Amino acid sequence: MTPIIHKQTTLKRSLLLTLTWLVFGVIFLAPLSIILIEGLSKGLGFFWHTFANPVALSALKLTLFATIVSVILNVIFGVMAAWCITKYEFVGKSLLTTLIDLPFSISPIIVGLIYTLLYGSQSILYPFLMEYNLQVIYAVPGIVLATIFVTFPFVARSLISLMQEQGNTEEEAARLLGANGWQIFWLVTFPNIRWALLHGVTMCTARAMGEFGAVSIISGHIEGLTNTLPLQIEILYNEYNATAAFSISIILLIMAMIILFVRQWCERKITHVTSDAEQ
Amino acid sequence: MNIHIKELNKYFNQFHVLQNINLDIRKGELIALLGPSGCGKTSLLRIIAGLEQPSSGQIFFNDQDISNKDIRERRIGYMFQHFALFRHMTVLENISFGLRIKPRKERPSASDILAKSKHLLDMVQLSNLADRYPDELSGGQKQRVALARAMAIDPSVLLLDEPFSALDTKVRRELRQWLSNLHHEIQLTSVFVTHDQEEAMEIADRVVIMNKGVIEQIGSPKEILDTPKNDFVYHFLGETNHFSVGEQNFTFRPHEVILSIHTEKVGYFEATAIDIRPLGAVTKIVLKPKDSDYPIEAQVPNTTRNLSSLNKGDKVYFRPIMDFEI
Repeated sequence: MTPIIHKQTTLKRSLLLTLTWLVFGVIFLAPLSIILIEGLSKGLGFFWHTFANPVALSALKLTLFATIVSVILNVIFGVMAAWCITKYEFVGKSLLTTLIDLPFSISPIIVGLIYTLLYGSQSILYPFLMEYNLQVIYAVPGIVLATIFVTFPFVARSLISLMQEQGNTEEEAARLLGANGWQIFWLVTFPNIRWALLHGVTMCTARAMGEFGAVSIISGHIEGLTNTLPLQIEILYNEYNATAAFSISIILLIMAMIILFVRQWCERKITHVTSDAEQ
Repeated sequence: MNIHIKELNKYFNQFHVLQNINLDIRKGELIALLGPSGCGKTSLLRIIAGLEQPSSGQIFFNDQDISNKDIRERRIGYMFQHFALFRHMTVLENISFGLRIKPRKERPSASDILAKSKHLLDMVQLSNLADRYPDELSGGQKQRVALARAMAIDPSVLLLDEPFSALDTKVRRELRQWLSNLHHEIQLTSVFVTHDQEEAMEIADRVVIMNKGVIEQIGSPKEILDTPKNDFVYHFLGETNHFSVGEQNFTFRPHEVILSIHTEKVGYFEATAIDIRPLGAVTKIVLKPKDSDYPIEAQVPNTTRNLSSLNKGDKVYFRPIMDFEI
């Protein structure tokens, strides 16, 4: 009897595996390889030319700048939010926990529109901003703000579940031993959450680099000034310059792959730490 | 150090978890806060430590009101139920933590810190495990590390939250004795919380029995066992039998009963033995009294005469020794 069952399960298994690879190939691998093929179709020289162009370089710089600033600010806000939610009891806690997830469920285009209305020339804030010569819309601050908004949940989310699971008796123990708030955070809390934090940072980075919708509305598409890499790709594509669009996509793809490997590595560290804790 | 707790109250939202608590703890005493879960004993311990704020009332350490003092000024040695060791630090790093984080002016030199931590490791008999991480230790070892870590800051008082509950029975007994001996050696004022009356009776100098946020009785283990102040204390301290015949009510412990297989004598009641269990030094016999629907439990020394000839279903006569009439 057993060999037959074994044969059946092997059959089912290989069928399922074939299907999985097929779907994976059609949905992921094929498009990815087309990016590479198309992007390099006019040779490495063309690829290099597209990339070394000042407009593309400025887009890359802006993307990196917006990403780094929003990741730094989101780490600060995310750690503070996770700390408040997991260590304290306060009125409106569940509301705050729900609101943190809001950027996940709101379409980025709405975020772009909200910021345009809030800081644009029709807004009541506009004269005030102009007094200090603060151009938010169609400028770098707006792009950074929109990126922060759409990437806010990643850091906080990665930390909250882990910190809830770990509880706060270690912090209480440190306080009883005489530690001040700063020492508690750096010597006790931070070492326990560092891998989850790095995980959140990679997710946040990946999303910030690729953000299109919200930034598209806010940026105003000024080449060399307010264009990020995804926006530059769209412009090139609309100009029927598909090869150049794919060339720039390759850059984004490489950056995404690096982030993916870092994330994978963090996840392994996290499972290692939590399985230790369970013993 | 003496601890004096005066008219202390604690509310959690509408819930009155500690009601007008007055308690004096004398220097060098080992006190047990004993009660069922939810009686407020852990809240009281956490308030003494400063981890929670009382809603009203005062706490004095040696006549000094510390109710509003920050946790760090109280110098509390505290042991958590699940030890709360710093999981990313070695045993030695855990123990030296309280010394390493002191402000530079008060901090001992690195060599002094190391010497003191090693001394504490010796005290808890774990010198060979200095470089292990908490998840590589057994429950009993973790408990001793937690104790050494608490002792490192020369605490003015030692507070222990259910110190033995996370350990298995055999280790629990050993550590109970060890902690009791250690307390005699260092004579540090100590308070521990427990729901296990045997544990409290075995090592505490005085026991504080709590129920639903109030203190029911304070006294030495002997006082509490001999003269329970009320119904709750009596029932909480051990197995109880109820038996009534006509107007007479009897409440007595399983060991407070004399059995006889001979026919009726004065003061004896007829019953049937429905279960007989030898438990080492004593034998437990469950009796079904003739005039009552509720079984009673008797515990007699296994050396009792005629015990071996007693069988399930036999007729037996019993007499409660102590008439604790309610």
